[in-house]
Amino acid sequence: MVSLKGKDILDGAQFSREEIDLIMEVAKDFKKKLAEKPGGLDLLRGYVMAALFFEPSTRTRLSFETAMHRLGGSVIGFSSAESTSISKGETLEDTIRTVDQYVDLFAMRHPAIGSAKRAAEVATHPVLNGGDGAGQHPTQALLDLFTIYNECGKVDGATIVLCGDLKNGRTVHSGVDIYKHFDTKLVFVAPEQLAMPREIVEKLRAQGKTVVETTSLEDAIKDADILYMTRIQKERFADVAEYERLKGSYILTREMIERLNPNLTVMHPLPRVNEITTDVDDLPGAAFFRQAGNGVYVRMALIALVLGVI
Amino acid sequence: MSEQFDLLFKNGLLITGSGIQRADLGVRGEKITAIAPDLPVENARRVIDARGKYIFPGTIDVHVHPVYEDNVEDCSRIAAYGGTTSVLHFAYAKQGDSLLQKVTEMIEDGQAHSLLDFGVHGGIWEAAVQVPEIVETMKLGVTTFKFFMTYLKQGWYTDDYQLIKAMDILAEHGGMAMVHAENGGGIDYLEDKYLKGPNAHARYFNTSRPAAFEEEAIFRAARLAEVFKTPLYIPHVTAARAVRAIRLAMEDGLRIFGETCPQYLTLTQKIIDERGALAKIGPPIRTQEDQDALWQGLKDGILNVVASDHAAKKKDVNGDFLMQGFGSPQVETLMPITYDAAINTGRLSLVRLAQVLSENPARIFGLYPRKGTLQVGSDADIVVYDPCREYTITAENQHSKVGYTLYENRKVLGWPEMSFQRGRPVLENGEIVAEPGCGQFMPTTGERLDPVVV
Repeated sequence: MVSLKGKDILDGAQFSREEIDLIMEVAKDFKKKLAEKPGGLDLLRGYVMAALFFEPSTRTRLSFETAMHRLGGSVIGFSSAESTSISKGETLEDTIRTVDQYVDLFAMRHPAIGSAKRAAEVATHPVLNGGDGAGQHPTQALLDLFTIYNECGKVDGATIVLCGDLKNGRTVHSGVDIYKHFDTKLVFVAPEQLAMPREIVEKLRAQGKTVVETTSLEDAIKDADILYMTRIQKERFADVAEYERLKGSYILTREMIERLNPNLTVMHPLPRVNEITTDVDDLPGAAFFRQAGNGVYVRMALIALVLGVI
Repeated sequence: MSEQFDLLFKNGLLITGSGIQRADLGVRGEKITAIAPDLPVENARRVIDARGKYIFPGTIDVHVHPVYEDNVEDCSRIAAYGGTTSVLHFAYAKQGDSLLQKVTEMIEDGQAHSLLDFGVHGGIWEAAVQVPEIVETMKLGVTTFKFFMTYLKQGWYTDDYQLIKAMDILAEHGGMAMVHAENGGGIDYLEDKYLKGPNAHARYFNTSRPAAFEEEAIFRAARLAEVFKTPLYIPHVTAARAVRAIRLAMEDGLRIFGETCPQYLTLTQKIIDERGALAKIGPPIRTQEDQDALWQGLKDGILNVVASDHAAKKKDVNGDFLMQGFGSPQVETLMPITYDAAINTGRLSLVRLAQVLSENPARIFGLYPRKGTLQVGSDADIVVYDPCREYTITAENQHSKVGYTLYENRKVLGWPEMSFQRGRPVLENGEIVAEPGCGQFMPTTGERLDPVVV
């Protein structure tokens, strides 16, 4: 029997297919229960979660906190390091050891790679990594997967297009760690200088995955089930003219969807800037705000599972 | 009665590792005593109008070798021309030297001659006899010790047995290991193969020092350090693969700190074709792809310090390349070159720049918050930077005794206009006004804090 009780959630690569399936199943169950009983559940009365956000975050922090509240538990924490003894020079380890005395689990975000791992090493309670700088963001990858389940009814057999800055995008890298467990076709759309790192592409191919790389968004979305858009940041380009030339090619419009693939499901980790025009928002396939909502169910599932209450 | 200031900086933009603030900054004695908008000028002895200027915490160059053409006094003066206010020197103990004695001598030399506040790292060449001296040396206020995983045939090399033994001692006493990370045996063989004999040529230099060897050594050092949880500092990271090795160690939760240098951030291996042995540096200046990865590493917080690796050596560009020394003069250009390449291209934010040149060096080497920031109570180590001043760097306007620079004819936008250390002027109107001996020794015994990332 697969269980996540007492485990830390640190990176997308840590999960087996069985564990992913379990998380999806529990999230689905919570979603259903909340639809039936809007006031929330009473599963974690008296439990306390520390939400330690050493750098600002809107969606991740609020959805972690909402998830804990919906389960009947409560939350302590902070949303920037400035108001804490970190600014007096306390080490991460000492902060964690102290808060560990108060709570049953941690959700944390920190700007330094590896910080969640370091926290987990000194904490006696489970640590859920809500993003460690340029490192991992596993709960985002899981909520993305849950969104695909909800929007398409399946993941195996789906064609998933990932578009944008695939070289540097934390979300897409964590996503790949999850999608590798499924029989999906992955299409990577990016300008050459922001292409998916070679080692990731090679690794997926070595695992027998179908991987297509292209620079054309229009070609890619014709046969896709899911389009996962991310932002292309201007500062990634050494040459501003090159950015100006390319940026239009990676903007998704309503016209493109209606012309090429009206059934397309569109996802985005948010915040969006201009890479999806706002006239896309009321198309039935525009899933990005529902995707943000799914963050609550998936984080409820992770909290309940690592605490071993279900 | 309003507070009296010895120095009052008006109308500048304060830039630190924690943000940007439009405020005045008041100094009394050696300390910053006020940061607020509209501080009164009436009771200030000296008012500096910093309108249109950036005010940075003084740059801290943690990687200086004052043992070649430029000595301790020279290095401090040359550094000051570029807006640096504190330096950390390497005191090397060669074969037969006592580590304790070499470190003591450098501290005394600095106290007598340094224009800037300075600290010292121990550098170990003969580990078997010098590693046992570490504990005694640490009592002098020196907590960081460098080991060479390369330069085997030169005799600077430390093997894994001695390295982990040193790491054990350092972990127990609150010290930190620093390693020149390249595979020594591998490089010796490749040097013999490519850089000796009739077909030897400078263009094989990089072939003899592949990035794989740097990656391998970082990986190995990190795994050795893991055993005793010894903090590990990797100076002069040069390659994409090396960044990858540090990232992996960080992801595994190890305390590892990566540094790179302006020469790796702004030059590529073409410089070896152009300047020959003058650009012979170990590890070598590599490809554009490597350079891009170093910037990305700085942005991602995998690399957290930019320092100079100043090693001013005379070289014979027409002589046998193999016989020429490693290193280049860098201490003067650290801040202007890094600023220009980071800020005028948008590669780094001003806040990140202040982190990698000042706050993070201070945090990692136990000097924060006395150094590395602009806070009430911190030392008044201040650089007034003019973002609009253009400057062309040439050997003629540089101050190292070696008489060359790898940045010949490079135009930069932005230049340090003046600097202060503990409230006293160091750089004014392009001239150094500080006196030898006014620099203080900085023990690196404070708490070793994690670097910050934005």
